[in-house]
Amino acid sequence: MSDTLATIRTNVQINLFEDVSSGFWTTAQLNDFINRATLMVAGEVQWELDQNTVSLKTSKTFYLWPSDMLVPLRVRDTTTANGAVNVKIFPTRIEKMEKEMRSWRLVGNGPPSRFSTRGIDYLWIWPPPPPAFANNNMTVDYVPVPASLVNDTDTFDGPKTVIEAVVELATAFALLDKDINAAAKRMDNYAQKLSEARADYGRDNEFHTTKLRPATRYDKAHHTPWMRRTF
Amino acid sequence: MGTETLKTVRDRIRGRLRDPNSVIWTDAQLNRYLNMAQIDLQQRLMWGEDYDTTVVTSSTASYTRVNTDRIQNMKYQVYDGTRINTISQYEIDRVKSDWRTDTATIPARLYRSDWNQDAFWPPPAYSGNPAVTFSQESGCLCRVVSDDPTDAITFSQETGIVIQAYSSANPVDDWYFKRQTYANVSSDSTGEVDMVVPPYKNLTNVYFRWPDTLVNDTDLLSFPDWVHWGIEEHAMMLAYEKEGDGNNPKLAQAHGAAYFEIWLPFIAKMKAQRDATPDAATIWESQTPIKPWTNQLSKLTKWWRPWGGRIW
Repeated sequence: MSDTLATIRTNVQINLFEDVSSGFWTTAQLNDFINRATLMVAGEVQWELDQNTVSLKTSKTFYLWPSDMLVPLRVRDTTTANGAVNVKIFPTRIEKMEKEMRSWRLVGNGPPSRFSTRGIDYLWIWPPPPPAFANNNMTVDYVPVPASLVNDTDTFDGPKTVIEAVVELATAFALLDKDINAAAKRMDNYAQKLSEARADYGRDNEFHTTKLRPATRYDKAHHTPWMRRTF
Repeated sequence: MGTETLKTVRDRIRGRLRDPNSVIWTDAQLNRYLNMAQIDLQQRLMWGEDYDTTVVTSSTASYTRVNTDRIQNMKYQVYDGTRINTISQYEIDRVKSDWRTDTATIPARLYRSDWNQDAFWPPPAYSGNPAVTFSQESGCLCRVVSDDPTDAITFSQETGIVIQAYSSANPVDDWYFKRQTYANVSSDSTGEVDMVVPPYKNLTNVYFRWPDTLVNDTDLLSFPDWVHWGIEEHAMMLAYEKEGDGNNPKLAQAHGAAYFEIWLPFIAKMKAQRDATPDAATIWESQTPIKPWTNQLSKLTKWWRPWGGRIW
């Protein structure tokens, strides 16, 4: 489903009891609130997926994350030098590296098996790639920052529950400039819409692992959230 | 690193403050609020990082930090390719009372001899070897294609050309430029190589760094564009807290709530997931419906009180 910026803004103005042609907030301000809302809902629900490649260079460990990345999901080695394609490499932290192997900085080149974020923008992989990996690609799966809606005809693509959450949140952002109590009430509406959107479209990822017990009996806790609601 | 300039963000704030002609808030005041907001975000999230390398001289124990205006907190330090742990002088006194007269050997620990000085114990027996020292060159390095230290480097007009510089201890070493995680446009140093310093037998300092101060209208904010909206709410809170004209406690409270209870938890959650480690991210996961926002989200604000410290 998709809605244009103009449609979303009209819905926000209705929530604000604003005249479509003029009001307390300018069109540019309302557009800005809508873009903020699309970002926040995208980060919370993470329904959208994008991909980009990182071209490896010999001995190079620092690369830039894709510029439109909000949250990384997976980093996959798409070379065949490892003997397999699309092998995932695993996230780590410097502290964990220190615990596992104190001299990890002195390790020579090898097939990358770990990655981490360094600072704000940098993807760091380890060990440094050997010459056999030069110009091969790592694929980064990530949740993108939503494209900015600028023109009235620009469209926001997303499920209906997500669009409804965007409208509620944009309304709340606008009301923060005028009436905090009204904004709080709108945030309650947003919380409800967000909960529905998450239940329907929230992405499973490695941060939501469950401890699966041996299946001795039927246990609906093993189901995904949307399944749980139907029983 | 963002793409929005100081002027863009300031104009947006000015529009929301409904002060287009700078009658109540001057540009200098709004600039100050934005700088304070950036600093607050970095202080709470410890997000921006940078590193530099200190050249070590044999038998010299103490070294002055050179980037003290940028260092928020030292993250860790590496000597000769291996992390070196820090210690206090009191602990060393308990272990070895005559440690101050120890002869130079392989350093075991690092201690802070002054607020901006790192000292080895024992003193190092070896000097770090810079691969190349430039003191006089005809022609200069004119452009670094990117701020990534291992990307292509362009030379233009050189008397003599350096093909490669590397440490014989490890041939994969290459040029080491001071990596600019933040690029303040007004102080860009394109075309300058101070010294190539390999890490071996030298001290590498990895630290959390303060954002660059925003001064000129064309300066870029230090965080990604999607973080600027959170910074903006903090700046608006500060603007409405200003004494005199423009003072509005209710709107200050509203924008403070927007920053502390909406944007800050969101940015922290995204940062945790960008750090790509389950242990930090699981603190934020929730499969249950969110309760009314003031009750639910206010539970998270306890993490951000100064005495509560940071959670990772």
